[in-house]
Amino acid sequence: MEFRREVNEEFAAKVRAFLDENYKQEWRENRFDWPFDWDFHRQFVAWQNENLLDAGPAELNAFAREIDRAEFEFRSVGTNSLVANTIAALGTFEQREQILPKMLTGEYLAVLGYTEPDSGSDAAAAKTRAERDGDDWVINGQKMFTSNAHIGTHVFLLTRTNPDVEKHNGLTMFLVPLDTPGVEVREIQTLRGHRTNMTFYTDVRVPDFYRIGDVDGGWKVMRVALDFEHSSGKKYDTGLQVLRKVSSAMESGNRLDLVLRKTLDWARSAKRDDGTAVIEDPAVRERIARAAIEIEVARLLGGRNDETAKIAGVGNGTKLYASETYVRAVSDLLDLAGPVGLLQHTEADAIAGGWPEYSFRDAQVNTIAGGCSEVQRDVIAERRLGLKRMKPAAKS
Amino acid sequence: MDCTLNETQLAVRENYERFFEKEAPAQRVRAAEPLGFDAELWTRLAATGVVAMAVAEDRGGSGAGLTELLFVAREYGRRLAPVPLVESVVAARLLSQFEPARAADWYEPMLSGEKIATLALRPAESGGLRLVPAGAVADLVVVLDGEQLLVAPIAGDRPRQSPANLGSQPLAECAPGTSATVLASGAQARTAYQAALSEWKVLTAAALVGLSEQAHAIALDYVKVRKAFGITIGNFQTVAHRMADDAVLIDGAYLLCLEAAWATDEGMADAARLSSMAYINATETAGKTAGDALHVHGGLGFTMECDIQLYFRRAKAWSLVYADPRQELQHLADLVIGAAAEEVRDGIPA
Repeated sequence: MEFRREVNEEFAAKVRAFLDENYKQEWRENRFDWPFDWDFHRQFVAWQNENLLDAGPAELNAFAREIDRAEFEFRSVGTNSLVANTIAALGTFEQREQILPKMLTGEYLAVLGYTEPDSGSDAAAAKTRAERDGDDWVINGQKMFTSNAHIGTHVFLLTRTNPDVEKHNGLTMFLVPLDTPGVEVREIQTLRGHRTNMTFYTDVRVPDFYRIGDVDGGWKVMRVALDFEHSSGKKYDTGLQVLRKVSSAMESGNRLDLVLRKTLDWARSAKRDDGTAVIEDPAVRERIARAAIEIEVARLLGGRNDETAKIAGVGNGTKLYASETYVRAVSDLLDLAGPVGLLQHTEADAIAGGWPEYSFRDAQVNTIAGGCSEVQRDVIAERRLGLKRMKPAAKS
Repeated sequence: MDCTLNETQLAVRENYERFFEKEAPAQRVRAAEPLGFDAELWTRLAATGVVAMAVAEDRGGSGAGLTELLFVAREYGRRLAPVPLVESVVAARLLSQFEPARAADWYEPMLSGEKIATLALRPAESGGLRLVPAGAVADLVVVLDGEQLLVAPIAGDRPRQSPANLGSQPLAECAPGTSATVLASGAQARTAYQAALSEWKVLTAAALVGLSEQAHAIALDYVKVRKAFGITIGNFQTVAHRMADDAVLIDGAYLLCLEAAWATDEGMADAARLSSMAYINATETAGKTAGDALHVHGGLGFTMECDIQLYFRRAKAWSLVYADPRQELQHLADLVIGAAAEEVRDGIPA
């Protein structure tokens, strides 16, 4: 039993040195815009490959802490990790030889194309069509929330290849280069204040080389990819482990923890209009205590390694708890500021560096993305508790 | 992080799971009401050496830590065993620290379970001697009285009169005896008392985890057989989702309890904060889980025939016997806010 979160301070200094040298001041200042820069992206990936290969928990903790302290809001490379790991698990020899090295050096950046205007958590209802034409496939359809498609190089695209069978049995997965003719990326603005995308596919022709997994075997590929997304997939070779270490270390940074610390820093010195100290207010104190409990529980759920970690549906529970408490707590942490909390995070005098207001917006997508809370509860109820759910009459 | 158990912890968990399952079935819990004490069960539990186990080896015990004791408390909670486990263990650990206690003629009998010690959860001047948990069945009470930590024999033969109460606990007013022994004074007294309260919170949290797990299990069994509108009610998402939420809350309550117990055993600086967190979290988890378990039983849950009411009443009572939970949140806020802005535990911001 061990709950110490050891940090290798020497390694932490190394992370800081890298960020100080390469992570530009203007990106720090505009962090809520989620900056992206290809040169920095490749440098960062190369740095990770060089430094995180042999990293143990103390180094990963150091990495997570420094990323957190730098309030690093650089566009995430997390999707790259799960696509790379899925290709490693299910791709052909040629795909692994030709695609993976480029993902590991930061040359390729893969984004996810599961969701459609008419299907989100019910991903298997995808309608985007892929039809065979000789050695190629021709793709037509549209995807929603293709985040980072405007900067990425490839989209991991869930398509329908057979509309005449049960919906899970007629899907096929592709890794489509985003510069293929017929791909159009259209900006969508979000509640959080930065863009995601809608992507359109019109007679997009890709060679069979880019098919990942079997024809009509796309759901199996999805299951593997979703396992990686819930951090329960198997480990593959070492280069991929770096990607996985990075994404799990960055997730364990626990955004709510940062919001609480920023809010607490503000509350320590802030006064109400009547001159009383914010921090003395019992209603404020209660909210802070409650958020502190939720942060600790989320961290423990995500870090467990005992026999319960192997129970089906446990990863879904962690996602459910962390996202639901994030939504609950940021609302509370925004409320405690009173009207001054309303100032948008982009305003110079927004409280606590703008984090409560920004996170109040940001939090709302966390109970949706990666499978909404209702789907997580369905999975827990069915796989862990043995409660079969009533399903609507099956149709494709 | 590593939350796996060692062989000792696994053995304790297994032994006491078997013990309480066999010795404390629901009919025995019912038979012990309203007092909430089964003398025969206590004798059998004491014979397992549980009180001595909790005390350090050089003080006559076998030196178990909270990471072992929490598994006893969890199984006790799972079966709602009508015995003063948490109070007697915490009081014995506290008393064992002081020479005047170790020299007393009741010390060895306390370790064997023949005499029962309990702890007043509030200082004497704050009503600590009213509604003392296990007060009706204990021989000795430890109380913080002004600047002094005292142990006093409780007047009158046990069991004493206990007012009827929500959780059927042997609560009683303990008259401060004239023959009280001073254990410590000033800062030493307060520190020792606070540490004991912190341990009480961890073990009570563990008991509430066990209680929650069993209430959830009983409810799960029920929703798989009870039918409405032609199907079992567990098929309805509104029911299934409650059960799913509660399963996750219980996971978290257990882990936080384990971390608090570990931090206490390791003498970590944030042990008091984690204990407070574990306690608050377990009280809320038990309240919600037992409440949901009662609710899914429908009208049956409102009847005294149904065992789920035994869990529902104790989920509230074991929590409230210490304090209004929101007061405890204020206490926790002190510990969270009081920490420096960049306070770290081994490097990671708290």
